[in-house]
Amino acid sequence: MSKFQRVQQWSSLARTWWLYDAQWQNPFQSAKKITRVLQGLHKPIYSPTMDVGDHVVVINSQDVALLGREWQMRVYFHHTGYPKTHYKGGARWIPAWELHSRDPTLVLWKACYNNLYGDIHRKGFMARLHVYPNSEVPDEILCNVSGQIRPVKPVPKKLEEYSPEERQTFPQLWDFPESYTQR
Amino acid sequence: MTSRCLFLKHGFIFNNAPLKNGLGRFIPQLQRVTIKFCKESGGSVGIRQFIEKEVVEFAQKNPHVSLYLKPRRHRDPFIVAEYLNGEKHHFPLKNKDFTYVVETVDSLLHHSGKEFQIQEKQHYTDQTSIQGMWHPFTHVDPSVAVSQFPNDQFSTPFGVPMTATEKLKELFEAQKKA
Repeated sequence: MSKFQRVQQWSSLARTWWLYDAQWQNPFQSAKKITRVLQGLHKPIYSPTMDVGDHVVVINSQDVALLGREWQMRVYFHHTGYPKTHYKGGARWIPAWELHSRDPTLVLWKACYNNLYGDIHRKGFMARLHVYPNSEVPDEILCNVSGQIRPVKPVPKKLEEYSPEERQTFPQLWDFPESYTQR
Repeated sequence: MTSRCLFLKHGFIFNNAPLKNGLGRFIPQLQRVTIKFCKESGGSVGIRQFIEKEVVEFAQKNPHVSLYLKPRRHRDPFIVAEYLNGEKHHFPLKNKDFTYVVETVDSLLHHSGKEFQIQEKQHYTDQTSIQGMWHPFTHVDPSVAVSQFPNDQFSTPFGVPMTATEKLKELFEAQKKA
């Protein structure tokens, strides 16, 4: 084995860091993509007994998109620790919008957590997931990133994001009548 | 079924060879061969033929092996091979013909001396992959190495059909050219 092949083998067993932009993405569809990378299932050398999972840095998690009335209808459970004898007990069910307002990283984090199989490896996989609410990532995290996971859905552009030139040169489908007034 | 299967060692042929043997010089592993046989009985015919025809040549070709002939009256013939790792292998050769004995001695000579183990895998190759080992940058565009993240280049999923807006723009461009 040459020196180059030896270094190549180290790199194949090293952990890669991936970036995922959660802007306007469904967190549950995104979790399927992310957990695949966390477990190392995207590698041809994958074996369940080998720990070949990668790191994933998720940005813009505050802009995840839930479908329809899911912000109101989806309910997250936690227990405060108070016993049943306490007033109303310790069990709490809070809607997704409230959880999101408390911590904008938790909806995506929990989506990944629930998508993984609940065995002894889950904690290790989740330790390699780094979720950030916006695009501000510490440099010591971002400098490791050497790849980007493609999003689930294309992110549409707002009208304000188009420049005035682009708006002017957009093909006009019909001529407006003389009497037409634009507001 | 015997209880012996419980104590048999399981392993893979890859682990058989002594570590790094042959990288500098090859160290022969077989150290001593004792051939136990009877001069009279019929069960030792094959091994007696081996001693008449082959044994001198074997000793000359392999000076690193000390060879002992041990005649024992009316007892079964055996070959005992002792190896550098301290293992001692006994092979019963009663009623075996000449060719079988030659094959046995030949296999002993090239054996590493590792204890017999049940093979967990029947396939072995020195060249694990013809197309080369996978690494994180196989089939990856080299421009990734110098690009900054997050990158707009990777911000769209694969296999998205063309939108009506894009189609309209394309038609408009074609119309302008015509």
